[in-house]
Amino acid sequence: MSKTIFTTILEFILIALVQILLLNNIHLFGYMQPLLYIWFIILLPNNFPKWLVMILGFSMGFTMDIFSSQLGFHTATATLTATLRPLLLSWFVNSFDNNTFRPSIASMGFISFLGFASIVVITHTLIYFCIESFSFTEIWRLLLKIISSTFISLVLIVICDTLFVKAKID
Amino acid sequence: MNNLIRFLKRYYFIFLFLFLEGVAIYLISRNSYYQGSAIVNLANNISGSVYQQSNKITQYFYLASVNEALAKENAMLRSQIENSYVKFTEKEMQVEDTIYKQRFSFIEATVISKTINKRNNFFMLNKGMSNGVMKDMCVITPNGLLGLVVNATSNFSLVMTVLHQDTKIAVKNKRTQATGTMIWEGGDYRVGQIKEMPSSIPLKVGDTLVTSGYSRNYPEGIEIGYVKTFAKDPSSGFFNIEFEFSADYNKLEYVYVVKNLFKVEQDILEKSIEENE
Repeated sequence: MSKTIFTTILEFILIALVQILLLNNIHLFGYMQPLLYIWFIILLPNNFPKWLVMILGFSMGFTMDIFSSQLGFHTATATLTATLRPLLLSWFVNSFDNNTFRPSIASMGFISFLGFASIVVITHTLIYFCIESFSFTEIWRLLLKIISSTFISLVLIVICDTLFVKAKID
Repeated sequence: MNNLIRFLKRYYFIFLFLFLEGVAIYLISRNSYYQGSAIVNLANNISGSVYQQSNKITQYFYLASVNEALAKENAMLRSQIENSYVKFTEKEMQVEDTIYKQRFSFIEATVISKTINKRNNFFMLNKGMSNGVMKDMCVITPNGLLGLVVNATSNFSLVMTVLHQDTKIAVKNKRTQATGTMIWEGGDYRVGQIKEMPSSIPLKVGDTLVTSGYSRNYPEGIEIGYVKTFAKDPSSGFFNIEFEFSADYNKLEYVYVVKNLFKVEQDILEKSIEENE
């Protein structure tokens, strides 16, 4: 358990650093905004209690906000995403399976993981950009932002998953 | 207490979520101008619509005082417009003629205050002694008789209207020349009464009643009203007549004060009769 906590903290720091130092400087075509830190929420072990997931999501969002110009947006979005995560995860895993695992291609299979990651990322970007623009007057621009950011974030998450997550962690 | 703890345990998840989101929204509203103002706007819209609804109801209770304030303001504004100032340049109309000697001249005046619903009603006019209005002058309207000036100051005059218990005016039927005395018994300001009109002379509903000229103060032939109902009083041999005033005293605004140019002569004559007696 202490190992799991240590791993989680390490992940938190690493993902946050990559997001802050590298990815926050990338704005492809003015629309795409890679949000790798969603991976942290995805990657949490499935046996973490819901409140812990929520607080971790809140912390990650808050960390992102501190290093971006405007406070609150990532916090609100990450909290909501983390709150929904247990529900979303339950759609993609067998509820009779009591294994402890971190959601990854290795543990879930590519299709299940991609489905789970997609729905989490879509939820996250949808909420984030809706809060950010806070109006539907430029709906097409908003949709383009959501779709392109979802796409680039998902690609990044899959790449990172295949590169760094080797096997099941118990 | 136990129940409270159980309740909190059961729903801690929702409370935690709401708390964290609340923090996030607080951060957004504090730190980003657009989103913050949008949230404040939304809150203002909600509270505003609630206040508007409650105001819609409560403002009915203030209508009276609001009306009063508006009326006061109206009066204030009205007192500033040109009509409120008395013009001292007007002259009485007089006709110079060698065959007919003018007996009456007219001074136009405006009613500035009036009552019609009391037993004894007075009108105040905006002309006084400085305009030539004197006590005991007759006041007429475009449609009929109004009354008698009973008091005049330098700029205003008070008219005892026909709607007064002391009013006794000699009238006659314009068609038959039958004479009577007009009084007002109170009540409806549109209806007056005629006494002492002999029942021997036939009368019709709608007959026009005019001043007879026997009263010194009233010129002859000024319309008073039209016969509405009449009944013969067998004991006295006179008609009891109810008539409708030709002038609507409620709507009255412009009147004429009648100046009897021979009044001094008549007064002297009258005085000599009294002295002889």
